[in-house]
Amino acid sequence: MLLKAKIRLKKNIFVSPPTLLVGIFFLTVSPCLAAPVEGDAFVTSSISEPSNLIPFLASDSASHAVTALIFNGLVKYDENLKLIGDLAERWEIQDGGLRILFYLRKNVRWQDGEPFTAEDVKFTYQKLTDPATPTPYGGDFEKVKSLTVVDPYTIEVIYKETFSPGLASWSMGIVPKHLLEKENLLKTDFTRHPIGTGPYRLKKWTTGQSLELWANADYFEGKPPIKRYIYRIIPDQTTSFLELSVGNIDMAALTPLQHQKQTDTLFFTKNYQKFRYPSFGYCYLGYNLKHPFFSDQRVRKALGLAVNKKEIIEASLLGLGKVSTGPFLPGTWAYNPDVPEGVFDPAAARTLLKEAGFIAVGQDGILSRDGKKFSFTVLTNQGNDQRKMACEIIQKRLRDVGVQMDIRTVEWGTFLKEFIDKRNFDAVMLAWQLSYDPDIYDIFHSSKTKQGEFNFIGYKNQEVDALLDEGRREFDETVRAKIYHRIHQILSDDEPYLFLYVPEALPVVHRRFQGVRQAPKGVGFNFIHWYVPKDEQKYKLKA
Amino acid sequence: MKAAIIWLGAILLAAVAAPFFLSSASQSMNLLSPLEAPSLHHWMGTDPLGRDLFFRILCGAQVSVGVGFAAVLIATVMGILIGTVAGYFGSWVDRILMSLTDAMLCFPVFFLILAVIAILGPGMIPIVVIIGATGWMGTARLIRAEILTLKHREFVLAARAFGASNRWILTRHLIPNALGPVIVHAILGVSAAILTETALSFLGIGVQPPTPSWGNILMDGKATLGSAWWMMLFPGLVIFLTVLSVNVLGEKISHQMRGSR
Repeated sequence: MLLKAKIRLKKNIFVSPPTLLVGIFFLTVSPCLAAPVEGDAFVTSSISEPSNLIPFLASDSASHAVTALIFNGLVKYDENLKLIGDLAERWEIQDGGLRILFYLRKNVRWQDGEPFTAEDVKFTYQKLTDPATPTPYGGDFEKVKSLTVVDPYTIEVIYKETFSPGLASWSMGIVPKHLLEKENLLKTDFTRHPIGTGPYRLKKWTTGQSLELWANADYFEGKPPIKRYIYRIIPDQTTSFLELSVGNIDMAALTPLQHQKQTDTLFFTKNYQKFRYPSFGYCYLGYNLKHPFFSDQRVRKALGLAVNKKEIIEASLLGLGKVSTGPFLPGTWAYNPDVPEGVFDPAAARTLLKEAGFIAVGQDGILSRDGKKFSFTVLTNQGNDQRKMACEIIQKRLRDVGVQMDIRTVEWGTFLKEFIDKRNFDAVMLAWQLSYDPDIYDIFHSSKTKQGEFNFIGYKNQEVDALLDEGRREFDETVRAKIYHRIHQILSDDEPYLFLYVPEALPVVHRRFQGVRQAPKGVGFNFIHWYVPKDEQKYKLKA
Repeated sequence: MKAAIIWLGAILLAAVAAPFFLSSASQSMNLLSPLEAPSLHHWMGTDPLGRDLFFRILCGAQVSVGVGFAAVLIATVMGILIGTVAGYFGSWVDRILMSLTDAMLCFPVFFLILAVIAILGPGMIPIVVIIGATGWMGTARLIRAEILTLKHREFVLAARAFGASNRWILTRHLIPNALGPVIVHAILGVSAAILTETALSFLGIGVQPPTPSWGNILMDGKATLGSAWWMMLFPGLVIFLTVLSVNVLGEKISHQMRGSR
């Protein structure tokens, strides 16, 4: 690929200005292409400790960050969010999507030296679909009718019906059969001493402090140049920012305030490279649709009109975000660009509330209907200043149209257990981190309202249900795009959520790392190719 | 000492008066001027939502000082009741009540408060009640000790000889005479209660927005540490000076009482 670019450059260098641009781009990136040097360590931090290092039992982001380095799936997303092979060299989709044949790589070994084969994939599938396994990902594999090992390096998966997110679901980390066959997954020591096929291997885990991973010399894509990956656990964001400010952490995600106002020092510009790009998620105000007021679409629409999303983005994100119009991300193929952003019109909101039967009675100007005041509580999680600020701005705007909104911040665990799982809330301020496939069946399908499932607002819309089913059956991206565009439109009209904003991801990476690049998948997707030139290496490993 | 009294007077005035005059000013946002440094227009600067920090601290006094006094009032009344009954009646009543006191003292109170708030939900009233209900043990022990010495004194025996009822003896003779050290203890308790409220609000489980309290103003400041020094300095300073003044006052009263005995 590089060679090709070079040749083309030589041929066309004087032909046209656009080619010249390509040339400049090539020249600027070329210093990074020197042979990577081994050595040094990469230090990052997290506010929480991984809970479980078996990929299909891990549901928190900290566990995911670590298992992604230790394990591989059959497929993975490349930097441009296209599915490519990982443990599978290639695959064939047959019978209109009902049958997938995976051809596995043959040179892969587990980190203990045993060869990786199709039996490991079958074992992982069996565990994923075993009712005794408490995994949140089992649903992705329910549509699988059978999985057969054709030969040690070929697997045949047959689906009961066409299921377009099926291929992507095989990005789930594969675990070794020979080590887990006789183990009880809930009690096994493997969760703290995992063996995978990935680029890094867990060397040491000091509870409450850090995890240390070492590069896997036998990794099938080549040994990663960075020798050690250190994952520090720092439960407080301010502390971790202070650690970053003295250079003790190599990569971190900044808050908008830190990005805009606290990192313009000489030390930061000299030592860190800042990035910003849209994150893969959106923040929303979700209404409990069982609430007598929120079940009325006019009320939801009125609240949408009363809130100024742009003002929230300016104040709480310092402008580092985009208006969210629906459940998909701007720029992705599922996103419907024709859905309007929504206007800020308090007068229209008041009229709509009046139409819905709300009148002001008391001195305080709070509206009421059938003798009940329009006052509700929005719950949000502790520790997220941006969300809290957004709540306070919404609170003020709603007060202006005669709606009293109280704010309650709750610790994350309690939030999920006491309020979300029990459906015990009026409204919630939360965010979804999305997968790269636009299937949002789990969030908006009316069959997903049971305890522990994700449609906790209780949204029911027959047309959306039908479209979500159809979107899962369809493989053609253009046809799927039409389906999701329609879903986007309906959800925007119906407003079961007040879609607020898509925040920007704001990572910083220490400048000594070479090969760091930003792509649609973000920064860090090519971590295994990063390296530090010999004279800039910071951490030396004692043999 | 004078400075402490003047400071506390000013804070009490703010606690009583500010919410009437400044409530809306302390909550009015100006999203165009977030995090402005202190100036003539905004004496203590503005917070990330462009609200005037000086007004917020004045209004915050109501919650922080109000919670302090109300909680201590509850704790003191409970302590006096339990301590007096235990000390005066003695025997098994004393044993049961003092065992309860000791048991409560063994409890990690702050975590008890966290647990109760997790169940009841945050808000000013639950906080006052829970800080009060977990802070009476010191007072109870103190007053019991006083009652134990006082109840054998001549004036009590005389009252009993005249046929006075238990209630009469307790309310007219014993409690008034035992109150001295309790008052000192209560004053010192106010500063502890203010700090507890501040800590709870700092953890985000105290008074909920938009109502300001010193603790949640301080919490807002934590995120801006390094870019807006005024966000932590001023609330921190106000908390420090108030707690210090209360302690100075308590010490002084205690000293004078010891001198007069």
